Amino acid sequence: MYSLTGKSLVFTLFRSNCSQKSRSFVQTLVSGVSGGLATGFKRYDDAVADYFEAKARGLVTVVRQPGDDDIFGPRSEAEL
Amino acid sequence: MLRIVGPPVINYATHPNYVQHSGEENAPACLESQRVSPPPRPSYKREDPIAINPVIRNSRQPLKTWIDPLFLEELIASSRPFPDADLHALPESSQQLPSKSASQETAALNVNIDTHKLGTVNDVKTQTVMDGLAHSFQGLSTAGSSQHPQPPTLVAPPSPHTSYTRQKKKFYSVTVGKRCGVFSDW
Repeated sequence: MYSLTGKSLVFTLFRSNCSQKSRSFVQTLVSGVSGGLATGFKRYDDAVADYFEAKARGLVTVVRQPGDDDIFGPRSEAEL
Repeated sequence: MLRIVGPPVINYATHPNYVQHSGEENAPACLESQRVSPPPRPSYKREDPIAINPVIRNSRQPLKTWIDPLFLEELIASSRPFPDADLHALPESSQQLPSKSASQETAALNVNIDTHKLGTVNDVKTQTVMDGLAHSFQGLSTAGSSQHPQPPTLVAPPSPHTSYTRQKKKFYSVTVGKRCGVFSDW
């Protein structure tokens, strides 16, 4: 599991009660993905810095399943 | 030709299968006796702290800064050293004064107070009246001080709790997922 800062909120899916709650858009991006990771920040700059630092390390991975292109768009545009 | 026909109109008042029920004929009589009027609703009207606090309520009344003339006459009458004694028994200086009413006596006493002439019977009266007045003024002043310990302080209503309506916006950096990037979510 990847986490840059200790204050960040890290949640991975495959929780038992995840399907019972209303999911946000970010949750749908990592749901069903093995090792799906979304790190929460209170400030936008912190989130951008965390993402580009992970991208510089080569840790950004897009995982698609059949049919996800119709929902989330083409794979070429899936990565920032 | 297509005709749109609505539902058939049934006159329930004249329909043979319609029986009007008021709902009370089947109710047992014991329930009528057991029917209890609901308790009175609590009054949510805010109580006036000034109305329920006697100290603050009395502080609204203006201070008694004048003396009732009737009270002053009674005070003068009660302050006579010899109430049964007539003015004829007094020394000549006081006998020269004709019999006056209480208000006239008050005016004479005020003159004596202003001139500070002591030693006559009227001055004795004046001293007694002054003592009584001082005592009454002292009582008024102490009563006023007890009624005005502090200005009334009104309690501000509690502020509404805003934690339920406050939402935090969070930003997520998705590094492993179906789409990667920075997303904002509420």
